[in-house]
Amino acid sequence: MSVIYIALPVALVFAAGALAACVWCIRGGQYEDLETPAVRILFDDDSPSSSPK
Amino acid sequence: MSAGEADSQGQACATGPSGVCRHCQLPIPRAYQEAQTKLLIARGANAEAAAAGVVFCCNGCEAAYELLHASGLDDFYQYRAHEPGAAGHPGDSGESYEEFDDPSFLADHARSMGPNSLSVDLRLDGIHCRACVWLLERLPRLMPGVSEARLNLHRGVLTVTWDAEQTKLSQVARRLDQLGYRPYPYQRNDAEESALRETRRRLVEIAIAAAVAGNLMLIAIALYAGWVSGMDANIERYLRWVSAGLGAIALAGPGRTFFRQAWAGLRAGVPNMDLPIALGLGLGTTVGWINTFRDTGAIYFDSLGMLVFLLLVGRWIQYRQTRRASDDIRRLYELTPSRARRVSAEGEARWVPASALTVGDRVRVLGNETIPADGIVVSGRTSIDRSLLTGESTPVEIAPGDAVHGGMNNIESPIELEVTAVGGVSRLGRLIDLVENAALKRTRLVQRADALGGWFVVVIVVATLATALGWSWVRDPHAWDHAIALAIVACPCALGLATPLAIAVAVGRAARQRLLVKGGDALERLVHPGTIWFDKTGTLTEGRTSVRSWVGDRSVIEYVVALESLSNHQAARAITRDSSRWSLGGASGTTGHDGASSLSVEQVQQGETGGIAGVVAGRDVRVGTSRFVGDKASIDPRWDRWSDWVARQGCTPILAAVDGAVVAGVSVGDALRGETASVIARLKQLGWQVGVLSGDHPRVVAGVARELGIESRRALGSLSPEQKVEVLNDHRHQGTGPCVMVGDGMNDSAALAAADVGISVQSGAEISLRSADVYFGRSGLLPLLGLLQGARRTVHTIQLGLGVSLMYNALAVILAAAGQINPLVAAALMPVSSLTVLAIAVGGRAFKSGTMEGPTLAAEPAASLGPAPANS
Repeated sequence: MSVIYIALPVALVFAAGALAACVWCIRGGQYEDLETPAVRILFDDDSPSSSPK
Repeated sequence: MSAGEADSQGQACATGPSGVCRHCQLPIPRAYQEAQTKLLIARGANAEAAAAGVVFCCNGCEAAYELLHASGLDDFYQYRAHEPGAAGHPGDSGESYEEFDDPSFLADHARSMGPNSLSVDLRLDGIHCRACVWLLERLPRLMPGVSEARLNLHRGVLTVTWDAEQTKLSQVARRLDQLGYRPYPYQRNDAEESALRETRRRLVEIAIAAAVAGNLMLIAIALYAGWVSGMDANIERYLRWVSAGLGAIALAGPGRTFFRQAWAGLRAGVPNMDLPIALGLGLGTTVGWINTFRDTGAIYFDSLGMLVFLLLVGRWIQYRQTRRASDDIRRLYELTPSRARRVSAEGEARWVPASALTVGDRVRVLGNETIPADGIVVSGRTSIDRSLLTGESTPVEIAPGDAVHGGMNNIESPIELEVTAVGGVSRLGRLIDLVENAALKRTRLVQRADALGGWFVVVIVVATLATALGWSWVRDPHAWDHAIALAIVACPCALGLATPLAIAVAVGRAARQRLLVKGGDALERLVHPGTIWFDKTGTLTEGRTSVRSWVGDRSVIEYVVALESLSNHQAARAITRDSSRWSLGGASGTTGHDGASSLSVEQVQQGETGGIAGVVAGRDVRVGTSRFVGDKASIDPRWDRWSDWVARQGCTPILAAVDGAVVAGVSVGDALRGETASVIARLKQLGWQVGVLSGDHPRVVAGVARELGIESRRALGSLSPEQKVEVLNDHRHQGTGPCVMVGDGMNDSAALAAADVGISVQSGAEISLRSADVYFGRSGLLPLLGLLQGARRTVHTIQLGLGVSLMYNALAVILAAAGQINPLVAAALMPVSSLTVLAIAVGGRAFKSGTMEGPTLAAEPAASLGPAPANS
């Protein structure tokens, strides 16, 4: 069971890494508009029948 | 979309009955529809749909339909959430947007993205369907010179990057306009910048709190398991110390907010909601740390970390609501035009951005344009529509020396004015401030629920200690186990969940019935009957002038209509439009829907005293006020009595004389909505006091009140928007129950925000409705009854949920204190109460379609155009 003395700090370091990534996303403004990207992905650029002209 | 709105958008829609866009459900002018059907069939695309009469309002909608149709997802059109906020489809307004090329505009709004490359944010009106994202982001393909276009659907802001050498911003704006999206300049000001920073700061705090709380929970589960199955003492100590460390991070990081605000409140001498929270957090942490050092007893860091996280999430939701509300309120500025015709000293007029106007500038405003800023008229006479600011239903004549305000509409002829106030200090600007302040004040009330969580923690800590000490007193070896079981089982999750869950379910269902409820607390305040105030124009009434009755010789209707079709006066237009209903044999062959007549009209004279005269098909016809008609024709005293009677009803009497004698009379006014009387009667039955607050003439208001059986002391007219707020504040303390305001226009928005609950009904100016708590996406007043009923049911559900979870908690705490539950069982029981509360919330009947008062959406015909005018 003594492996937990190493495993727990490692897990916490992973958590800290994930947290840092999340903070980076927030600072980059990725959470400001949650609607448009969800819609944007619905449209396929190469769809031949959906020319805007 | 009402018929009134279609009228105000010009003649495009008036040429015939309209189709409805298959995708976004907006009406489409018939001419456009026919052309499009031909085009679709010719192109082969969507031919099947086109042949079946399916039409679209825009390419975006068409492509989206195609996409869904091809994928067999047509059910989307049955299931989709209705989007009542969707703006109209304005079409090409024909504006030049040359002010967008003004150097001062570009300096203010554009950012340089490299050599010749500029970027600007434009707020677009008319983004109504998701496919619009697709269309707008393909703008570079439609416009050479535009390198990128990104749309933020939530804010309706398009960021355009373009090459200044290849194209001009005004051309981009014109193209957007042609596509049906009217662009407005959008500028991030300092307040928005700081709001953005605040948003990010809060999100980072939540992220930290979540990470810490999650890890604390994992460790706590290991510890609980250890108590049951046994655990090495060293490992247990190690886990406790790690918990203590993480707990310290939660408190020192995201949890600091509560201490800071509690301290600020204490220093100001006003203990606020953060005080109990800070007390709970402080006490829990202290006891936890002491127990960690003593190496015995309960530590509370998992609960504390979770509490910090949940509280921050709750505040985030609330903060976002507030911010959205204030964003919406800021948009009210769009009611004034973004540009103005500034007249130079040499008398030359040039378009400039409205933001560039300064006090003392001379501005020219043509007929049918909106006045860009407050000012004094220096030349020209005209009549203006002040309904935006005052709610008056009839236009007002103005002459040089009169003051006008930004946002009012110039109806007739060109005027020039000298600007006296712009932007935030103008009348509209001050009104918007008023709305904003009232809206902010109200959201603060919400925080009370949080305090419960704080006190709850204190109670749990005390109860836990008491349990531990009590059992130690009787020398029970499991004393701390009992205490820990109590701490776990008393977790306030279910208690905290009951209210938000029930409200979330109710608000979601209400939205499907096109009742947009902004904050759940509005529902709670609508439970007990109080006083409900209605605006008159556009709320109780249809909001447009129409013919209410024709009396006398109906054979002259054709003559009158032929003459009136030449006048631009509001009453004349109403007569031209509505009179066919009264003519002999229904719609007359010679008088079309649009008023075109085959009768010859000669020697037309417009009178100064309100009327028009001419020779129609050889007969001398005069139509107008009794003063105008009386100049050249004899008026029987009978007609004078009729005129008085009509005026007492709040309508305008118009007389028609043929060959020198009055033969017919028309009563013109704003007709009540068809359902108004029954809704008012039902409200009274439910115990509500009903009143009218109107900017219109007191006589008109009194007429409407009499018709609806509203007491005259509660029927107030001639109120400015500011006075409406005063009346609401005066009456709030008199009666019991909430003070509710129902209105529709800009002139009501301050009152809507000041009332305990502001409800706005759908009509013309959509963006002015957003200061309200509740917004009806369907026209008419019937949704009001459904709303009141839904509110009662929602609160019933909340009370049931709270009762059940409180009972559960109390029972569990008693059992745990009695030593009947061990920690593991407690951990397993914890989610049961949350699930019960969830089941209660989902099972509630609030806003369930089919059980609502008033017709639900499925049962309601498309759009009621109101009843035939009442006969006199």
